[in-house]
Formats: sequence, C-alpha cells, structure tokens
Amino acid sequence: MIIVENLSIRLGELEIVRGLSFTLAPGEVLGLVGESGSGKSMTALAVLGLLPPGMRASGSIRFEGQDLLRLSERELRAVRGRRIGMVFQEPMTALNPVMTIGAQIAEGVIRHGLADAAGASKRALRLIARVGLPDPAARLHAYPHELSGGQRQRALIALAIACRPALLVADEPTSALDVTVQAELLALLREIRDETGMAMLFITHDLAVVSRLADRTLVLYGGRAMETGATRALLAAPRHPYTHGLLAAIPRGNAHANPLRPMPGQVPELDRLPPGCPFFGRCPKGDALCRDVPPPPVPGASIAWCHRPEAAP
Amino acid sequence: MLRFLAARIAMLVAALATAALVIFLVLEILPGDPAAAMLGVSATPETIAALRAELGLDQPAARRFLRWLAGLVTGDLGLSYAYRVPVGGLIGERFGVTLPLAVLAMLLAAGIGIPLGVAAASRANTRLDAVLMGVSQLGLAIPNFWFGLLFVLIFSIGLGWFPSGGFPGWSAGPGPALHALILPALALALPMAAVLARITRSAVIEALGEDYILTARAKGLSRAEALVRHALRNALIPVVTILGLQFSFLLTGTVVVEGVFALPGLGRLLIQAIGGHDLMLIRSLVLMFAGAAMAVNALVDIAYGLLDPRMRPA
Amino acid sequence: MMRALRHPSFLVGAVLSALIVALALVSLVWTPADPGRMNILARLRPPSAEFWLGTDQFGRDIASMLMVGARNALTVGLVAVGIGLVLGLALGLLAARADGTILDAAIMRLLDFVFAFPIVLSAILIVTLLGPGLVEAVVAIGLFNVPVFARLARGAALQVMRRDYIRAARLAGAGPARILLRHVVPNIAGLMIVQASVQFAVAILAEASLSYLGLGTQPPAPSWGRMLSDAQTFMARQPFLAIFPGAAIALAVLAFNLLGDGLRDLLDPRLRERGA
Ligand SMILES: Nc1ncnc2c1ncn2[C@@H]1O[C@H](COP(=O)(O)OP(=O)(O)OP(=O)(O)O)[C@@H](O)[C@H]1O
Ligand SMILES: [Mg+2]
Repeated sequence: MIIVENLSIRLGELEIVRGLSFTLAPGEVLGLVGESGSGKSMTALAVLGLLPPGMRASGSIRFEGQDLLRLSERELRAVRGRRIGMVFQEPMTALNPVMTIGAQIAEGVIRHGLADAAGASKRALRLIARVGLPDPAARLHAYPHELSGGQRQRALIALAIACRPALLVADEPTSALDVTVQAELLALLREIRDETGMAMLFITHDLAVVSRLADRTLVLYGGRAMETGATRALLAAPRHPYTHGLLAAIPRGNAHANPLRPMPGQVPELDRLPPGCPFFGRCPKGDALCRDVPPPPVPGASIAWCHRPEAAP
Repeated sequence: MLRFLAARIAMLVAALATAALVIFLVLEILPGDPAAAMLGVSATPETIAALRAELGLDQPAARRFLRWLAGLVTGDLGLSYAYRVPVGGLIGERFGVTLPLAVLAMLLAAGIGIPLGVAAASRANTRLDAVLMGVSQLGLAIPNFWFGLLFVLIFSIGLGWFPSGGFPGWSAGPGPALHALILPALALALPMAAVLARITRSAVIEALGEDYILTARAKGLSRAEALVRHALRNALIPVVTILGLQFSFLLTGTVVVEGVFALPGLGRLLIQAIGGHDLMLIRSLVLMFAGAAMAVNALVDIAYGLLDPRMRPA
Repeated sequence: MMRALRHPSFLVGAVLSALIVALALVSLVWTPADPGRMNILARLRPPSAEFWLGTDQFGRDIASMLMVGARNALTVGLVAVGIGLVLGLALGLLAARADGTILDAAIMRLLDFVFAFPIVLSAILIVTLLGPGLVEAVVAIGLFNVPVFARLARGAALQVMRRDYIRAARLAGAGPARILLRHVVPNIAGLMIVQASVQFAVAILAEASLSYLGLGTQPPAPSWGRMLSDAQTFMARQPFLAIFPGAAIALAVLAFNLLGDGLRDLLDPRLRERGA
C-alpha cells in the first residue's frame, strides 16, 4: 500500500537520507530504528510532504496509486490527516495549548468534510474514550495542560486516527514517557491496528519497543539503510555489525528506553561521512573496501547493506 | 474565575488608593497658597481666608484627603479653583472627547499593526518583511505630535479634507465628531501600530516554529489555516500584554495630541490646569489618567485568562 | 568588528548617531548663523543659500537652531539615561543581592508602582511640583528610567550569580561587594548598554513631548520640541517650520533605536534568529 523507492532527502549539498526503499502492506507495522540524527524524522516528514523549508526529497513514495512526492500542495492536504495520520514525539508541545482537546481532534474531521461540527465533536468523544482517557466527556473540553504526558500522547493518537487513515506514521510516540505508560501505549496502538487494519510506520530508537510492535524492521544509520527484515529474524540473528551493536547495547533484563550507543564513538557529521559505508568509522570490521565503496544489499535471512555481513546461523 | 476576578479588582482598588495618596501628598508639598494665587496681589488676608474656607482648604489634610477619596466614588470632586465650577462636571464633559479618541486610536493601532506584523511574520526574511520592519522602525521614531502636525499640514491646510482642529461635539451626531477625531486618532495610533507590528511579528514567528503547528499541518491544514487558527491565538498573548502597556503611552499621547488639534479633552484640561495652578483639578485628572492605565492593566490580566487557559485559575 | 560593519541596523544607527553627536559638538564652536539673532526683515523664509533650512517667525536661522537643539537633546538623553542607569543599576543589584528577602520585594514593588505611571504623565506631575524647566523635565524622565534599568539589572545579575565561577569566587572568600563589581557588573554591562541606547531614544522623545507642551526646555534655549510648538502657529504660511525639527527628532530617535537593536544582535546573535 505504500512503496518507497530510492528516497533521498537533501538540504543543499547535504544528503540527510540517501536511497532509502521500503514497503508497507495494510495492517503491517514497520519499525524504523536508528540513533539520533539518523534521518528518521525527516523520512516521516517526507511521507507527509512536510519537510522543513529548504529540504528536497527525490525518489518516489507510492501511496494509494499516487506518487506523494509529485502531488501538489493542495492534493497533499487531502492526504494529510485523512489517509495518513501522524503522531509526534513530544506530547508536551505537539498540542496547541490554547485549544481544547476535543476541538483539536475534531478539527481534522471537519477539515476533511467527514462530519459537521456536532458530528465531529461526537466522533472526538468516541475517540477519546477509545484511546482510554478517563472521563471522556470532561476531557473533550479539557486543555492540554490539564492532562499528563501519557494522556496527551493518547489524545495525539486520537487526533491522528480521527479520520481513519490507512497509514499511521508515529515518530517516537513513546520516547518521552516512562516505561509503564510506554507499554500501555504500545498495547493501545497494537489494538487499534488490529481493529482498523491500518498500516503503521513506527519510528523509535529503542529496539525493545520494535520487538514488541513491529512486524518488520528497517535499521537506519547516517541516513542510509543498514539492515532490514522480519523483526523476529533480525533481532534473533542480526547480520549487520551495526544492528549487532545496537542489540548488544540493550541491558539484559531491563529492555526499556536507553539511548542507543552501540559502539564507542559518535554519529559522525553527515558532511564527514566516508564515500563507502557510513558506519565505517565505528565498525569493528571496517576495512579499505568499506571505506571506499558503498556496500550493496546482501540478501539472506534479512537484507544487510554490508561488505562483511555475519553469516546466517 | 470569579475568585480571580474579585482578587484582581481588589488589587486594582488598592493600587488606585495608593496612587491617590501619592498624588495627594506630592501636591500637598507644593509651595504656594492657591487661594492667594487666585486672588492676586490686591487680596486682603480676610478675602484669602474666606476663599480658603469656601474651597475647604482650611480643613486638616487628612480630612481633605478622605473627602477627596469619597468624592471619587460619588463624583463630588470639589470646585475647580480656576473655573469655579465643580471638577466632576468639567471632567465628565471632557471625557466625551478623550475616551472616544483613545478607543479609536487603540482600534486603529491594533487594526494596522497586528495585520502588518502577521504579514511580516508569514513572509519572514523576505523583502516584504524587510520593508515592513524598516517602516515600523520609522513609525517608532516619529513622535505622535509630529504625525499630527504633518497630518494637519497635508490633510487640513493642504487638501482641506479635515478640520485642522476643534471639536463639534456629539450633539450633531457621530459623523462630524468622528470626522474631527480621525486625524488625531491616527496620529496617536501610528507609533503604537509600529510597536504592535514588531511584537506581533516576533510572536507569530515564534508560534509558527512550535510543534503544534506541525500537528496542525499533519491534519491537512494549509500554512495559512495553521497560522490563523493555531499560531495567531497563541501569538496574541504577548501582543495583548504590549497593548496594555502601550495604553498608558496612548493616554499621555492624548495630552500632547489634543494640544495639536485643539481638542477640548482631558489632556488639554490637564495642561490648562497646570498653567492655572488648579490643584483640585490636577489631582483628579492625574489620578484619572493613572487609574485608566491601571484599569487597562487589570483588564489585560483578565484577558490573559481568556486567551490562555494555562493562566486560568482552576 | 567586521560583523559589526556588515550589520545594517547597527551601521545605520552608528552613522546617524555619530552625525548627530558631531553636529552638536560643532555647534559649540560654529553655527551657520547666530541661533539667537532675530531679523525682522528675514521672517519665515524658505530654505536658501543664506538660510539653509529657512528662518522662523523671528527671522532666526533654523539650521543653527537645530544644531543647538541637537546639543539640548543629547544632553537630555545623557543626563536622563545617566540618572536611570546609575540609580537603576544600584537598586537592581541591591535587590539581586537581597534576592528573595523583604528588601528585594519592597524595591521591586516600589519600582512596579513607579513604572505603572506613564513617563510623560509622571513628568507632568513633577513639573507641576517644581515648575516647568529643562532640569525638572530631565530629572523626571531620568527617575522614570530607573525601574527599566533596575528590573533588567536585577534579572541579569541573578542569572550571573547562579553561575559556577561566582560560587567559586564566593568560596574563595570574595565579599559580596567585590563579587558584584568584579564579576556581575562586567557581565551585565553589555545588556545595560543596549538598554541605555534604547532609553536614550525614549528620553529624547519624552523631552520633545514635554517641550512641545511648554513644560520642558524654556525659551530662549532652542529645543526641537518647542520649535514644533512655535511652528504650529505659522506652518500654514511656512510649512518647512514644522518639517525640519520633527525630522530631527525622528532621526535622532531612529538613530539610537537602531544602534540599540544592532548592539543587541551583535551581543546575542541568537536573538536575531528568533526574530525578536
Ligand atoms: N529543520 C532542519 N534544518 C536543517 N537540518 C535539519 C533539520 N531538522 C533536522 N535536520 C538534520 O537532519 C538530520 C536528520 O534529522 P532527523 O530529525 O531526521 O533525525 P532523527 O533520526 O529523527 O533523530 P532523533 O532521534 O533525534 O529524533 C540531522 O543531521 C539533523 O541535524
Ligand atoms: Mg526525530
């Protein structure tokens, strides 16, 4: 239902995302994983046509028979919120502080002509109940500051699914929350997916979260794909040294959100990447070939973009 | 909300009472005997004493202060030394000029400044933005009375479209009165519009960078819709604060601009009262101006609650 | 330094204010004509080679009067800002040092109260008390600059005092006065200079208003504001009378506003990017 091919995002000379391809089937959840600055958010914004000014996307994003990258602003507006919903990372700032929760949920419904004001308000009430906010009638008229972080994120989810989109893009929706709330929200998202059959592009830097929700996973580093495959296979036997490192970095027995620091060293600046594999500087296996030649996708139990992939077990 | 209102009004009353005390004390130390000044050099001690009694000046200061405070509520503010008429009546008469002038100026300033600020913000860092901000710098620098003089020069003396001064009163209907007020109101409004445009611009730019704008765009709202429905309402919060602060500048501006256009308002009355050493009048007028500024600040606090639910007391 | 030269508002502001200062200084030793000399035969003249900017109703040379008026305006700005800056800084630092105590609260409430009185209105009250005159007007304007500087100084000083090196200095045994003078004042000086430039413009505007009302500079000393109030009677016959003094006020205010804005940007580039 969505086929992304060869997506690149540039900011002037800088290539923030290069040659990214992935697909999503209805009802499927794809986890997009990577360290901070790896281009996850920009990929999500490219899907909605909401890249920051100055950034250009190339390639193609085929969705419901259209190439989103070639739509006019007006055509994109008909897709945004209606066919593709989005949940943002920061529940504290992603809601307008001076508008009631109900009005913010209803706004998109009215905007897309799915209901009049009264109908949209009723729908908002149902959605608030659906996402598990206590005392929905009161929450309808509540302002964001009257809700806790987890409750606001639920409200944001209600807002994103208000028009029953076919695809939900969720950019680290749980990263700012504590573990128990995180688990509840993941369960909620899974339920909604099961009910509505919508596909989900789920962005996170937390492999533990991916393992609980995503059918398939795509690992991103420096704006390039590192490895992709069925989540289970990928986590059981990672073939890319980077994925390997990510997994090793999860403390045993306590799999909650920790900033990914799989290897010594920092994510290099995008303009200082080597011509070959972006992970070269931090990879324990890197050699001259890795430095100079971009690695091809190597098929196996998963696909790894690596000159020296781990052998399948 | 009611508790908050009551508390804010109580604060206002306390501030007003303090202001009244300060004004009274300041004028009390003023050297010179107003009765003697009014009667001139030929006055005998007996006539001066008689006038002092008539004006109530022979009473102790504390009693006079309390009488004045009571008068502020009842409207009986004593006699003007110079005009020999009740101060309350004088002020009421002139009020009909200054209040409409200030309100008109405020509306013009908001009506000009806020849209220009929004326009500059929505085209931030373009040529339009640069031009608007350059013009607003000029607007900040030009004193309102010079605007007034230029308007008189151009529109009254040059083109003859407007009277160059004076006020026909409201008895002939609102048409002629507004016609006489429009130039002075514009002169007062332009510097204020310049301030508002600059504040609005930076507030809107800041609001447009917030995450909730992205949320709104992701719902399918256009840039313009997100600006109007989401950014503007948030940006208005600082703008209203400035509007309140500017109101006190506006009030003092009326003093000057009423002079330019020979409008019989409170401001001109104040200047005349100072010239005539008319203490009874001065103290009530100064308190009126200060009180109006304080009242507007209280209104701003209340407007905060309406604009920003986070400021609403639970 | 190069950055300063490329910053448009700083550049324009600096050039304009330098020009005004230069004109004021030159007027001490030379003006095109004697600004006080009346000439019945040359009344209300338009600009010409003889009278560059024309003459007033007494035949006095406008250009010369404007130059002397610049001196007047700059003196007003300097003294009023000086009063506001010195007293404001002292009160602000005192409040910051007494942070959280009753003294701090008392100072700040008092300043709030003063601040609630509009500047020209306050000046009117003071002038009523002391009689009209330049000195009275300047003192009035200066006093009502105090809260502006005091609030700014207090806020900035509190921020500086929370920094680690201040704690270190305190632990090393430096007394409070020494900490304020050696560490806090140099750190907030930039901010105060920016505000001084802006208040300078405010003071010039306020003095012009007061003098226009006849409450500021008294004749025969030339003042831009008073020149405008004189012009009002005669501007139907000679419009230039109302144009040049107003332009002088606007230019001076613009100059110091731009200078302040430019300095602020140069001191803190982040502010500019946020569009403030
Ligand atoms: N508005 C912007 N203008 C310019 N560059 C940007 C902007 N936003 C992000 N970038 C750059 O784009 C790159 C990718 O950023 P992105 O936000 O997609 O990372 P991310 O994977 O979402 O990280 P995080 O986990 O921190 O959210 C980074 O190098 C970042 O510096
Ligand atoms: Mg991100």
